[in-house]
This record gives sequence, structure tokens and C-alpha cells, in this order.
Amino acid sequence: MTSDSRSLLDAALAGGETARGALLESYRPWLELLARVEIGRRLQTKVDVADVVQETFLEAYRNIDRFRGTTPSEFSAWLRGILAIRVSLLLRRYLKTQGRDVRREREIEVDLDQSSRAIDGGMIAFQSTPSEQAVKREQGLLLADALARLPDDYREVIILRHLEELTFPEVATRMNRTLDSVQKLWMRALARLRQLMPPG
Amino acid sequence: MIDPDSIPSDGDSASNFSNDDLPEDDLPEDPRILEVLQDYLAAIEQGRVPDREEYISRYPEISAAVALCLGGLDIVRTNIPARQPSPSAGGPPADAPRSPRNLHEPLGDFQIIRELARGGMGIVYEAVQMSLGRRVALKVLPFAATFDARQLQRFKNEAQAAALLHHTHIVPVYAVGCERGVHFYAMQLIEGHSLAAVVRQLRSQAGLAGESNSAASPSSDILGGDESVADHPKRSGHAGGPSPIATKVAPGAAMQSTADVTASLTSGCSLRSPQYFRRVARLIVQAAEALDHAHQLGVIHRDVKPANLLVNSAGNLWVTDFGLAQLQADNGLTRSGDILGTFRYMSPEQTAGQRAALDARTDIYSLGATFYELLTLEPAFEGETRQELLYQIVHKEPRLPRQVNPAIPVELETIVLKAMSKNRVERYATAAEFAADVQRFLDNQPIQARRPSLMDRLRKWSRRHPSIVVAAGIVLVVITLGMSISNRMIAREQSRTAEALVREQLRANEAGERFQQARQAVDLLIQMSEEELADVPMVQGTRKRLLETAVGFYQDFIDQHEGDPESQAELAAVQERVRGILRELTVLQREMQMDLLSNAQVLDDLGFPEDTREVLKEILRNSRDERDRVSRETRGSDSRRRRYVEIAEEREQKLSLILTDAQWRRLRQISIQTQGLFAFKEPEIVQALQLTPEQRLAIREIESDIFAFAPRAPGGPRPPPPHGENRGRPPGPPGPFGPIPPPHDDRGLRDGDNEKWIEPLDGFRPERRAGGPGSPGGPGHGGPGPRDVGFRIRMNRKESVEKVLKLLTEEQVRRWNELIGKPFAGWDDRMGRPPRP
Repeated sequence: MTSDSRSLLDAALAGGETARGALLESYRPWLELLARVEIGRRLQTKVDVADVVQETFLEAYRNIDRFRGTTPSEFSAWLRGILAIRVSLLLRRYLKTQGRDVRREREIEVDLDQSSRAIDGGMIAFQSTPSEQAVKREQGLLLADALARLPDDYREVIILRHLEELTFPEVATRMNRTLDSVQKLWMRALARLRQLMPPG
Repeated sequence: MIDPDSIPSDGDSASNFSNDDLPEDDLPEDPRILEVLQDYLAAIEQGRVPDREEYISRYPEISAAVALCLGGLDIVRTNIPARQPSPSAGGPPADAPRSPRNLHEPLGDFQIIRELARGGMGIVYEAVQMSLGRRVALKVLPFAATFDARQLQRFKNEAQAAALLHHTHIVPVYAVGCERGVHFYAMQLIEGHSLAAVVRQLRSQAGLAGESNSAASPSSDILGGDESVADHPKRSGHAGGPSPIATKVAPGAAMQSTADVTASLTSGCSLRSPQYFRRVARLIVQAAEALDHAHQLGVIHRDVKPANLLVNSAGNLWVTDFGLAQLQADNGLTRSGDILGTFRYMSPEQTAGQRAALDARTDIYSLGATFYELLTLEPAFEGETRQELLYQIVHKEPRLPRQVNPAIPVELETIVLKAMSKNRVERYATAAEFAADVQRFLDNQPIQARRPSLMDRLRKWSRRHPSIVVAAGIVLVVITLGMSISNRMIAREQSRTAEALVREQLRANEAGERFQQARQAVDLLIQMSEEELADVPMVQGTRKRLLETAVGFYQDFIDQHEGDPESQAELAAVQERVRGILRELTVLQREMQMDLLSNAQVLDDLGFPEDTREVLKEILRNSRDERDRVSRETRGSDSRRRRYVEIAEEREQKLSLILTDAQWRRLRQISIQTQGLFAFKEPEIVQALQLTPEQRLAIREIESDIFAFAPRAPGGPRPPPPHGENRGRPPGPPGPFGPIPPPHDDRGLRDGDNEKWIEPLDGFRPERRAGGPGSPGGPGHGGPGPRDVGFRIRMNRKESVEKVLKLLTEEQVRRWNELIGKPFAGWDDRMGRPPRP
């Protein structure tokens, strides 16, 4: 999936239709996770993010010629920018506000960037070297993949507890479950996640 | 119990589980699993690093299940760092002080996102400036509470001045502020690495000890530039996979700099490649230009070091942390590593703690030291403790860069050494000059820096050749004394080695630095006197004169600092110390006279009765044994000297019972004769003869003629230069900092046929060494050992003294003759030394 994302990117930029599809597909779990965290933070409700990500993909697919970068990290940043606009539009629908809110878009973009850094392991700017960053981003994509393959409730509890950093009682409220069941869900989710991730 | 409904069926994600489907009941129903997990998570969220094994083994019967869950938790927490700094996420070690703040609450306009780095000056967070929606690096000063109002005001002034700096290569400061008692400093977030990280990386790639070898390589990106393809054949994509970095890379480098350049650029060979040094030079040019901009606006950085120079993958450099050093200096930081990290690049004047006296040239020094480290991958000074470092910075010359790595271009070595001159007058006057000189190198034009001055070279050289240090000391004293006399007494100074130095000195004085310069010169005088001359009997008169001059200068300084009791007290303390040395010196000088008593011919001359000679011998032998014992057993030159003084005083007391006043006087006369030309350096004699400055200058000319310093060619002796020609005149084009030696030559003074030569004081025994050839150890070009210098004495004692006498007035000659009395008959060689007992 991601180990060859560099060559996939090169092929996609060179104009390969199949490569474009495969490239975008390889970012799907990651983008869904980002969108999920972003929307969840703002709406405090469960939203289906698949549409937002699909819209993002369409837009990216159509405009890939406008992408000026060369590296996977530049590409993921570009995708995040498109996602930010899509998420902003979605929020507008939900919140029934009028007009395009540039400030919110910008805010979401910043947030997305941070979330992606969080998912990718953070500490990128100062602490790590480019190839460490690569490993971390790689890990971030892997984690997003693994989370996507978890049952919904398992994924939800991990996102709420660790990405949105809610307390267990808050998670319980949001998921409309008892504290006890949420904690047990969490425990099982962790065990499952461990089994899904490659060893090491 | 788990509510059965809460366990999702795999149905809704069946497609995802085609390969990894798991049995639902793989976890035993045991509340203790959750207990262990919760404890583990709590520990992490408190910032600790829990011992995983300990939790797993807490309940052996469920250890497998716990291990599985902990594994999952580890995956989550290493990939999704908690907002509180978490050690696993590359944050601070577990024992590092934790930020006391609630990071969720904004600091003014800034919402902290996460911790990026920690250093001596505080913690750097990534933050969002909410009003503008931009990401910033927020530096928070954790110890602000310990400052007083005055210090805080100074910090604010400095930071505000720094915020006014706008330059391509200075990290822009967005805001300075204080919220909830927390002082902070917001600046642009640079996606890059500090040069400190780069050096670490390069060191580990070069296989140098002390750094763990990580697979990654900021350096390869940063220094990759546009030249890295051709000269690094080892390049390969061994790390596999992409290496996305946030910033763009230079055109041409894009193909290889991020993804597949990993550890390539800096493989062993590349550190010797010209391209590497050119890249480093480019970075230094950027830093120097940035500093120059700041200097022009009156802002001095004060803490230039690799850690404060950030570089991104395109090879652009930013200087950061302007003005913060101010605080650091005030605040007794407790983290020793930080202090050392800062001390290592401090200029000598900075180590002296003279904050007011610091100017732009302190930054030039520190950038020079940084340059040194980038070229050699070794710090210029490697002291492990503060004391060691301070000593090295003030007293030691760094190892020549080209000795560390011969591939370093000689021009860059010259530039580094000039920038790192101990005496700031010898450094580049401005950072712009520094930048321009490095740029000249990059443009393949001749650089303007010259090799270090003769003075520096002498000092360095004398340290490398301990056995010649004494003779080097003599020359140094000639030079130094010339310098001080110039300042104090005479203006005339011609065709001498010191001329360039004096010119520099005077020019600097005119530039309004009279005091600093003069004091530096005088301190150097004291230092030379005490380090180089203290143990050399023949030059004690010179040493005394140097010290007395120093005492005089210090009196001047004290007078100039009327109304500044603090400085006066400090100056007076130095003066008193020098006076103490002088008192001891007087005793030791009399001891030299008494040593003459071990010579039978002297005793004959004194008419010493045979029967008391045994007693005398006994006294002399005892004190000699005692001195030998001290020199063997007493450590530290200060305490040794004190013991010598005690021994001398004791002996003098005993001898005074045996010698008559007349014998003392005669002994003094013989002693003066023994010293030959050096007697004219003794303060008492200078005084008694009322020597004029011009006469003293002329005497120095004669003195320098005594020593015919000539290199010995590998195959044998080299003829001395014709007498009277080129004496004391350095060869080569005289640069502003002394003669220009040929490049690649670090062998001290061997600058050419006409150069002065010096050799150990041992050589005062002309019966063994005069003429140079065939002396033990012989010549040699091979190494910079003392062996490849020669020393000849051109004139004997009698000739040289006669030369001096020709300069004197009749009256002076008469007084001289009184001082020396009738000629001592006991000389047995032309140098005028009494025979050895």
C-alpha cells in the first residue's frame, strides 16, 4: 500500500489513470480518519465521512495537474487542503450557515495539518530527521488503515479516547453507552488493533 | 460484562476482515486486564515512561492478554501523541522537568499545540496564532518567575529589538508577550533542523564516536544542495519508501534529496569533497549576512552556535533566538548540558563576563567556532567541564582544522582562524567582512584573511614546542615590551616584527577601545611573563620589568576608573597580585646571585676564606636539595614558586651570617656582569643608568642580533643570513596581521630564509650548540618538533655589552662601571657564563 507510494505518486503525476486511482485510494483511510476527527470535534456527533472523502478524491482526481509538488508529503498536504474545504462545506450544511467561511476553512486546514501530524507521530518539525518522518508518516498511514479495518465501535472508541482526547465518561456519553462497556470496548479495540498492525 | 449488543458483528466491515478475522473471545473476561491497562495509560498521561514488562507480569495468568492490549495501546500512543508531552513521542526524557502549564488554555493569542523541543532557553511549542490562523513556534521561558523586573525589562527590550529584524536569514519574531506570568516569544515555525542536529548526523555518518547512528539524514537534504548527485556514488534508497518532508527542495536536488538520499551525502568520502566545504561555506555566508543585518541595527546575538542556526532541506539558513542569551547569562541555569552547549562557542571576552564590553565581534567569534565545527565535525574546544572550557577558550588555540581533516581548503581554515582570534581586533571587524571573505572563497577569488599574526603563531608554536618555549618567550617579550613602550613612552617604532601589531593596537585605541585594548595587552604581558618566563633564570630581569610595567599600567587604569569603585577594586586586585609576584621575584633574583657562590672562582674573587667554604657549600647544598625536592614533589607552579621563595629567604638569612657587606656588593657586581646584555633589562639598572627609551630600543636591536635564528635545512646547517641584514625583519609581504607565511605551513616560524630562529635556552651553552650543526636531535623537516629549529649566538657577552656601552653617554658608562666593578676574571667561555661548578 504505502511502501511504494513514492513510485505510485510518480506514475500518477506522469499521467497514469490507474496509478491516480490507486494513489488516491491509498490515502482513503487516512483521509477518512482525518475527516472523522475534524468533523467529530465540531459537531460532537457521528457523521458519515465517506462522502466528504469521496468528494475530495473527485476534486483531487480532476485537478491533479495543478499539483505542483513532487513528494508524497507534499501530496498529502495538498489533499489535506482540499479536504479542509470539503469539511468546511459540510459543516456549513450541518450548521445551516450561509456563505463560504474562509476563516473557518483556514482554521480547519490548520487543524487538519495538526491532526495529520498527530496521526503521523508529531514532532516532525524539530525532533526527527526526514527519514524518521518518513517512517512516522508511514506508520500514520498504516495506523489509519488498521483503524479503518476495525469494527466501527472499536474505531470510534479509540478515536474519541486518543484523538479527541475525551475522558472515558465523555466517551460513554458520546457513544451512548455505559462507562463499563466503553472501557471494555476500548480494551478489545486495542487488542484487535495490535493484531491488525504488522509486528514491530 | 460486555453488553452483547455493544460488540459489533463483523458484518459491517466484513470485507476488511477477509484475512484477519479474529475470534471474538480471544480476550478472557477478567477485570484485571482493564485495571492494568488503565494504570498503564494513567502513567503515560502523567508523562512517565512505564515499564511495560512490569505491567505485563503483574498477573501472570493474564499476561498474554495484557501484552496484547498494551501492544495496541503502544501503537496508538506512539502514533498519536497525547497533547501533554509524552516521552514516547520523541519528547523530553522522563526525568525532564514537565511544563507546569495547562497546554489547552491559550496563552494570549496563542493556542499551544504540542511541544517541539526543549533547551536551555525554555520549551518550544508549536502553536497557532488564533487571530491570524497561522502556525508559529512559541518559545516559553519556564524560569521567568526567577527574574527580577530589571532583567525582564532587558529581555523585553532585547526581544523587541530582535522583533524589528527583518532579514531572509533571521527567523522572524512575531510577538513577545507575557500571559498568566508566562513569558513567551512567538516566531515563524521553520521546518528544518538545527546545525547541531546536522553535525550530530554527520558525525554518526562519519563513524565518529558519541552519537547513535540513526538511519536518517537531515544533513543530506540540507547540504545536498545542487551538487550532491555527482560526487556521492554511494547514494542509494536503502531506507526504502518515501521520505516526505514538508518543504520543497532545490531544483535538481528534488529527484534525490528527499526520498532516496538518506545516508549518502555524508559518507566518509563526501566529508572530504570540495562540495561539502562549499555547502558549509554557503551556510556560513547566510548566517554572517544575517548577523551583519542585526549588528547594523545594534542587536548582538550573543549566543551564536549550531543549535541556533536552523536549516531547511533547500539549504536555507535562519538564525534564531536573538536576544535570548541576555537572559541566559543572568539566570543561573541548572542544566549543565545547556550551559556547556553555550559555553563552547563563547568568545574569550564573553567568558570574562564583560557584558558591557561585548560587541559584534563576539558573534563573529562564535560563528567562527560554529564554522570550525561544521568543517571538522569536532568542536573547536572539547572541554567537558565549564572550567576546562573556559580555560581552553582563553588560553588554548584550537587544533588546526586541516590537522583534523586535511581536505579542508586552506582558505577556509584561514578564515576560521581569523574569525576565532582570541584578540577581537584580529577578527573580522564586521560580519559583512566575514561573509564577503567566505563569498570570495566561493567565487574562487583570493580571500583577504591572512594567517594568524606572528604573535599568535609564536604563542601557538611555543606551546607546541615546550622545550623552546623559553626562547620564544624572549622574543615575545621583545615584541610585547615594544608594544607597551609604544603605548606608554615612545611613538617611534620601525621595521620591526611588532610594527604591524602596534599599528593595529593604536588603530584600535583610536577606535575608542583604548581601555579594553590596553588592558588586554597588559594582561597578555602578565600572562607571558608568568607562563613563559617564570622559570627561566636568565630573563627574570625582563620578567620583572614586564610586571612592573604592568603594575604601572594598572595604576593608570585605576586612575582612569575614578568613580567606578567596582572596576577599581577589580583592577586593584590584579595589581596587588602582580605586586605579590614581584616581591617573590625580587627574592628569587637575589637567589640567583647567591647561586654564584657555588663557583670557586667567584669565591676567590670575593676573597672568601677557605675555612668557611665548607659551611657555605653545606648551606648551598641543602637549599639545592630542598629545591630539587620541591620541584619533584610540589605540584602547581604557584605553590612551587612559593616554596622556592621560602627556601631562598631561609638561605639568604643563613648566608647573611657568613658574608660581609662588601662581599654582598661584589657578588652583585659579578651577577650583573654574568647577565651580560640582560642586565640592561633589570629595572634597577635601567633606573641607575637613566636609560632613555631610545637607548632601550637600541639595546633591544642589539639583543635581537644576539640570536641568529636560522632554519636548518634537512640536509644540514643553513648559513645564517648576512649579519646586519634583515635582522628581525619578517619575510614575505607584511599583512596587516604580521607576515604572511606560506600556506600549508604550521611549523611555527619557519617562514623563509631570513626568518628568526629560536631554540631552547639550553642553547645558551654555545660550547654545545653554537653554530647549530651537529647538535643533538639534529634538524628535520618531518615534524613540528623542537628538533627542526636551530639557534646560534652571534655575539658573545663582551661584544654585545660593548655595543651597548657605545650607545651610552659618558656619565652612563661611568655609572655602569661602578655597577659592575672590576671585571670578573673567572669567565671560561665567550658567552660570559661562569664555569659550572
